[in-house]
Amino acid sequence: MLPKRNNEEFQRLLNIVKRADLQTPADVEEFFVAYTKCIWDYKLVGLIYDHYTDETVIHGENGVNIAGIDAVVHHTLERLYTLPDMRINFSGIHASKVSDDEFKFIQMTYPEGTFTGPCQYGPANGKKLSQDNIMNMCECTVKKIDGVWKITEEWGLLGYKKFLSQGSTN
Amino acid sequence: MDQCTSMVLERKEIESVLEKSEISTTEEAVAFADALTKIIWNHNQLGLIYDYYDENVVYKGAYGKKITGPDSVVLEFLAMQAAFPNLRVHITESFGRALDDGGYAVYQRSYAEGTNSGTSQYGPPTGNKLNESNSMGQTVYQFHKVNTRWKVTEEVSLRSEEVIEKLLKNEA
Repeated sequence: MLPKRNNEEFQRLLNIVKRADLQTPADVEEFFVAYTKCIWDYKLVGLIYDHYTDETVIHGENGVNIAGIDAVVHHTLERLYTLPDMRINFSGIHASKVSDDEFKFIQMTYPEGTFTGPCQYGPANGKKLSQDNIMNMCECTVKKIDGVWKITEEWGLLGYKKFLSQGSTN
Repeated sequence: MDQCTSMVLERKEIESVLEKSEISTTEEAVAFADALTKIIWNHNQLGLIYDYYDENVVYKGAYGKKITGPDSVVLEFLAMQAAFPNLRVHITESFGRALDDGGYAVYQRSYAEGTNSGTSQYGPPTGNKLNESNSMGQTVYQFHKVNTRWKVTEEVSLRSEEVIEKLLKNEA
């Protein structure tokens, strides 16, 4: 089943996301931890529209890109369907200020979750993700556009394909 | 206006309806149901199911389906949204009535638009489409005030399941 929702954490994270006032690298780091977890842990997929652009490109491994907002939403829904009890754990996040209107950051995370939903790589097998078998790294460029902070470009090495293609449980 | 801005503005308008703390007329119940349907289905805010569905909610669907609790509802809705990631639900008729126990029942007739571009329980995406002519849906919500918040305590919903299954299996 799904993890019990931590209402206190949910409200705290949502309040951070709603404020979205990024002035220092620390602000960026706090914001994107909250934003990531609101989308993935708490399934507020609609928040993608708030801080991505219509044209955002996510550069993936093996030259596979996710281009455009519809594709970003699609990818998120499909991943959540495959691993519906997903929780994103942060090993670290580091932001750098480029200008008053631009930051870059890198986040290192590992997801925990159970492969219970179908996916493009094959049927579910009940295997579990943990820090022992996966690490994600994701770099983002964040720019202030018309007063709103937006991820304009993203680079991610996530490692899900191998995990989801591995066949039956050990 | 770009798509992201349009979606955010639309969602914030919906949120303002949901955040009102009181339903005291059937019109307000209908507006609440309209907002709830749209924020979950057209804005993929599945996490809000935990805020607006009671912990003991009963969901009844086609072919005798009966599931209970927000977790089950999240999984049920996620399966459909993952299969049709660009899904939009359009409500074409709705009305409500006050219940004797202080709650409200609201009926919605709707149709869905979307493309099967995601994996489903039946296999890889087929590219088949839902539209006004093949996707009629009918839903009855029951809302009750639980502590300080109005929540769905029961949902009964049918949405042309036979057609959807054929679309997902590419038998349409």
